[in-house]
Amino acid sequence: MEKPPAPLSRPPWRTLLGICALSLGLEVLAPAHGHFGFDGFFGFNAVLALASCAGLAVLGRLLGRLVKRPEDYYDR
Amino acid sequence: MTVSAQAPQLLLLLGGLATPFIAGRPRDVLLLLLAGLALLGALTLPEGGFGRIVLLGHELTLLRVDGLSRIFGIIFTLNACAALLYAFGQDDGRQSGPAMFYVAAALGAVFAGDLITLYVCWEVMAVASTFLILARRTDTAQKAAMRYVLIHLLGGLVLLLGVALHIRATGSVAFTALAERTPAAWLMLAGVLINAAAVPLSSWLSDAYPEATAAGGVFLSAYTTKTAVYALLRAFPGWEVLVPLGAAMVLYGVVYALFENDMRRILAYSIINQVGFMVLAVGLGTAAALNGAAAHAFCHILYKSLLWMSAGAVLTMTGKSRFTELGGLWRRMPWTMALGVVGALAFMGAPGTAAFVSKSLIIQAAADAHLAWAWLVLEVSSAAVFLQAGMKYPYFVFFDRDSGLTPREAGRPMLLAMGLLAALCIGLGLAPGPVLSLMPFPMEPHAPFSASKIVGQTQLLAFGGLAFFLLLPLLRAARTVSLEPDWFYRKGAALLLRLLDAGLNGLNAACARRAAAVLERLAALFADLPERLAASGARLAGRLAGRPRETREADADLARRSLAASAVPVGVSLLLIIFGLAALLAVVSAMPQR
Repeated sequence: MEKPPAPLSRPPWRTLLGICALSLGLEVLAPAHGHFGFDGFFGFNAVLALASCAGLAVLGRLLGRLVKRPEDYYDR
Repeated sequence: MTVSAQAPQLLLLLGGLATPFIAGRPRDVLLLLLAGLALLGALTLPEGGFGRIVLLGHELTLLRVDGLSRIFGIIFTLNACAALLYAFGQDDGRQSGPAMFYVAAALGAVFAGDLITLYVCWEVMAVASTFLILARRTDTAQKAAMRYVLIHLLGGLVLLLGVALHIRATGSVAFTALAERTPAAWLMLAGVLINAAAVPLSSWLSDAYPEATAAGGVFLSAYTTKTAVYALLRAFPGWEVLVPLGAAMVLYGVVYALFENDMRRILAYSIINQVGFMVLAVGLGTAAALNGAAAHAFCHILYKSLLWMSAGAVLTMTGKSRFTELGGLWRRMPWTMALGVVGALAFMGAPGTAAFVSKSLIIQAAADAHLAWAWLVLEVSSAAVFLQAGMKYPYFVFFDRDSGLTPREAGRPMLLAMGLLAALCIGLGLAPGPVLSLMPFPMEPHAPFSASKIVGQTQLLAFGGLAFFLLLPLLRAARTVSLEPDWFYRKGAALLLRLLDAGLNGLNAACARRAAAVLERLAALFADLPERLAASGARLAGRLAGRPRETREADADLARRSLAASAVPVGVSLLLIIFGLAALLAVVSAMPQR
């Protein structure tokens, strides 16, 4: 019998952290130019990404209580 | 060859008409060939207006070729080639016939030089696309198709009203930029926005597209909304209302993707999200923004079709589309996974993929317009791609927990089609020259790759990816449906039906009851009316004759019984008849003479 495929159990932490560190390192060489004054500081994109993903995930959890219904909601 | 013979819409229309008459491989080859010729036509048509006909006193231009119609014509025909290749060998006329009409109508709208041609193509598109949903042949698909076509017919009517008012006011049928904010222009804008899946009427898209067939989803994802973007670019550039509307669409797509458990519905939300980018850019109205919208529509069709293809392949091979039933498919479907991931990367706007250039053009245009809030919405959405089609789709389908499913890899035509689009996503990402050269509006030379932009975008995506894995427990979906604005008409229609049922049927029943009661009473009245009249007559005669009460009652009783037993003497009957006739005569003679 064929062996079932092994699950990908662990997220690729090392690769991810490596790319994150690399992108921060490269920003030293190619600094970002802000457009509005609040967006020019070092690591702005990193902060923006973490903050918006976290904010949206939490918002999704909260809003989910309002808008999520069982799958057969419209058939009832 | 005349110019009209190269008209892409005509070639595809021909394919649609030929579909019922051939089957199997010859049909697939013919349709693919026609799509290829249409692509060639879109690439090589000379600029100008062709196919002029006069209808109802208006001169129509069936084929207007300029920079704007060309970029949409090319991507529409290119995507038709890829989608037909994807469906190669499926031999489903229910799907390929309507698909040809659908693409032909979309091309007809894009190449239309006048509003009447635009409107006709608009309606054909709505009807033909409905069949791509019906072709799935499930009960859910049938219901979704009905809702879909109703919304689009509504949109078409609003557009028609706008067009009619516009023609009446200006006398012109030309399909050009509308500078004046007239009621007619607003109506046309509303009609177009319904097709663009603008908030609040965007839920038709996430409702219907995921119910289409695998190949149907690929066709649908490309044409309706992008034809609307084209119409916005053509007629409504710089209409400020589009900026907040586009931003709302961007956020709508992101937020609803958070709740979603169906892989193709996630992709549907990301269409709303990305079309939001384009709508916002049209609202900005600068040459760079409009070029960004056109270029992004081009790139968006490439990667979004690729994503729909890979999801369609998973659906075809497993029969499932919920994240909670999928997972760990990367070993079984490695090519579908790899090509799907390329689509996801392009969707994210990763440097080296096609959308990096077009997306950054729009974001830059928002910054140049000094609209900090709009810029921030676009940036947040760019980071949040991981929470939607960018990561949530590939991760929960191909990785994560093993679902135990053992599907085969997708068929060769599907993989070839996905390979073609993936190659274009990467090729045009590394060398965006062809897309940049197609941009329709003259603007300052644009440097697509600056070091700081590449680093910035990489950082945004790297930390977005990190956030995705950190937040993974919050992102798992359950088997639910999300309430969207279509709640109002889905539940509203049911409520209306119940109200009408209770109201009208109740009224009907009450009227029937009342009428029956009146009839019953009348019947009872007339059943013994002669007897009663006879008795009253006898009683009156007795009183006039001065008889005692007992005798009067006995006479009345006798008269009643005699009449009931039909034992009235002939003389009395005759007398009564004569009296009756005399009364009638008196009435007639009393009537006024003319």
